[in-house]
Amino acid sequence: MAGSIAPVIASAKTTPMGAGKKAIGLQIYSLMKELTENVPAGMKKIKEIGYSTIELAGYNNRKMGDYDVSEYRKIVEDAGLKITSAHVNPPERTYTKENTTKISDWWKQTVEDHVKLGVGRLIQPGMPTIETQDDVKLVGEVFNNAGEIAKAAGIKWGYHNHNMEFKRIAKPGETLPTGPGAILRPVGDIVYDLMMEATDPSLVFFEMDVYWTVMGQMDPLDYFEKYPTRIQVLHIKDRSVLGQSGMMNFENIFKKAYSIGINEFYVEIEKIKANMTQFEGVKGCFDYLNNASFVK
Amino acid sequence: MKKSLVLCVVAVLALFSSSASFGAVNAKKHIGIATYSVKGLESNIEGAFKALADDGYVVMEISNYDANTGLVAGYKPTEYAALAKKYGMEIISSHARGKFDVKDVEGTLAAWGKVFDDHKIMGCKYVVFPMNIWSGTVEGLKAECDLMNKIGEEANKRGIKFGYHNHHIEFVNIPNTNQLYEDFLIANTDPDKVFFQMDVYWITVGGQDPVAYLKKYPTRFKLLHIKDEYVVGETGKINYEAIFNQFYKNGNTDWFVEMEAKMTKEQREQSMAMMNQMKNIQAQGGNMADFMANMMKNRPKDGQAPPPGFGPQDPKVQAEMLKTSLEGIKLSADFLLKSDFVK
Repeated sequence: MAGSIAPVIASAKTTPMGAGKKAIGLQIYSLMKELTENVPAGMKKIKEIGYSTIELAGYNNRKMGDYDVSEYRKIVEDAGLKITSAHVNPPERTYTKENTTKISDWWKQTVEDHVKLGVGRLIQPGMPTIETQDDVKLVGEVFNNAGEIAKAAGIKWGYHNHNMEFKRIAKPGETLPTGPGAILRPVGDIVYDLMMEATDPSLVFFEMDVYWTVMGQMDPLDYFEKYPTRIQVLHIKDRSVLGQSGMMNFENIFKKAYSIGINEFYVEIEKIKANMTQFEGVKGCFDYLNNASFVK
Repeated sequence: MKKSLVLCVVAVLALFSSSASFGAVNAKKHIGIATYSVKGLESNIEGAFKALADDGYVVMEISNYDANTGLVAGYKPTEYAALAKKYGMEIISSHARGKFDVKDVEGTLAAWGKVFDDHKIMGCKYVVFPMNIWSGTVEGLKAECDLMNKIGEEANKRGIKFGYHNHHIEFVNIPNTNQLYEDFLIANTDPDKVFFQMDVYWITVGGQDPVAYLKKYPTRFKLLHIKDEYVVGETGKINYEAIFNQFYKNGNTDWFVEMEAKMTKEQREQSMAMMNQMKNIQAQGGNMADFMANMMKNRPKDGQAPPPGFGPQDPKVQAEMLKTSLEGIKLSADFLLKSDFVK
């Protein structure tokens, strides 16, 4: 489990690499270009920095980049890392009654491949088209179906947000006011909340990206409180290297997350600053969390 | 060279003074309160001031100066300043507005001249223009920036610094450009005449990083609004430590806690919807008059509660609002006083 509070004391004695380091996971999207240049060397670097688990990105055409999925898993494990989660997007962005079977079939083969990769979690990071309450209903059905397919293979299926999920759409039977000043009532429903309600808790969990939640004008803590069992994993992300912007209060985020039982998280870094490699950014993030007193 | 030498001296002095005060139990932190935060203030001004002083606040930014009467909560400016002093606090800043019309420069400057005269009497160092809906064209904005510079000159004549306070509406692009309003305003106003007060909460809601802006414009942001959704430091937003560190590093000292009224979830949603509507207007280059007209048309109907802080001025309601807001304000003070990154 990424970022889990699994004891590191025992392993610290046997594997010097892990000595004094916390169990922290990395979303490898953070260093796609620098990693794909040389995957075996890159995985070793991730391990050397101190990460213990990874969440994949880049699955396409039933392969991980140029590698067969089993080959890829071996490379990761040879580096001393464990694949615990993966991000994948189905081939359709707009769901219709006509394409749900195609999407379902795609999930079946994708789940098969991810069993081979050894993941515990399979996560969709791209938002399907949602403009109306009917869209939400269909998305809920498609998500539940994906969740069932994954569950049958022993994998948990989840959804990862950006900021667009925090836009509002009209409640059933209402029209959102438009035009300047048409503002006070009604305000509509938040898409993210509707996604929670349209999906089955036994089939679909949520991986909350705390940075994108803040960019969506929302407070992650409010959501932890509102959906304590649905949000099971976090993306720990900031403007660039963790802890350097003025936008995120990670101390409050970690404290609240632990208090409701969230123990799994992945670091993600997207905007690498000038004069910094992706690996340097990824290291900066690890060091921040490893040194932070509020991270277990 | 010269500049870096000065910076070094400042840094050394800062080190010295902080080590000198280390361990001094009674050394007061320089913490400020924007009294906009004190809802129902005018129902018991002295009681509120005493509570603020007890919380540990030492400086104030007021927002109840009335440009029409020249009075503050019905008091003459000198009397109001004396009232603050009675409780050991100093009014160093004010959110105030005069006429702002590029077609009437003379009238605008006369109005602000009066504002600055009254604030000079009060002993204010800063007067801050709290919010504007800006022109949606580059030419229009240039004229507004020129007017800001002229207002700043009027302030300088009286030994006052004139500034502008952001919300999130300044963090959208000017129509048909790739430039944010905030960047344009900073680039087109004279650093000697116009400074900026960064509201750290609203800039974040606008999707921009307070620390990056403090680094990008180290000399332009002279004041901060330290704000969160409600009590400072309670959400998953805002890295106050990084913000204070950069603000002090830039050589500044003055900032104010600002809080909205305590709201229900529904009230908060409506408040944010209203602010986002303003942001949309700014993004589309629309104008405030349309906004206000429609807002009046869409105002709460009978049986719907008005937003907190607005509506009936029943003394009992006022007293209750005051009690509630002072409780929140104390919690914000407690957070900042116990934070070792706050000087």
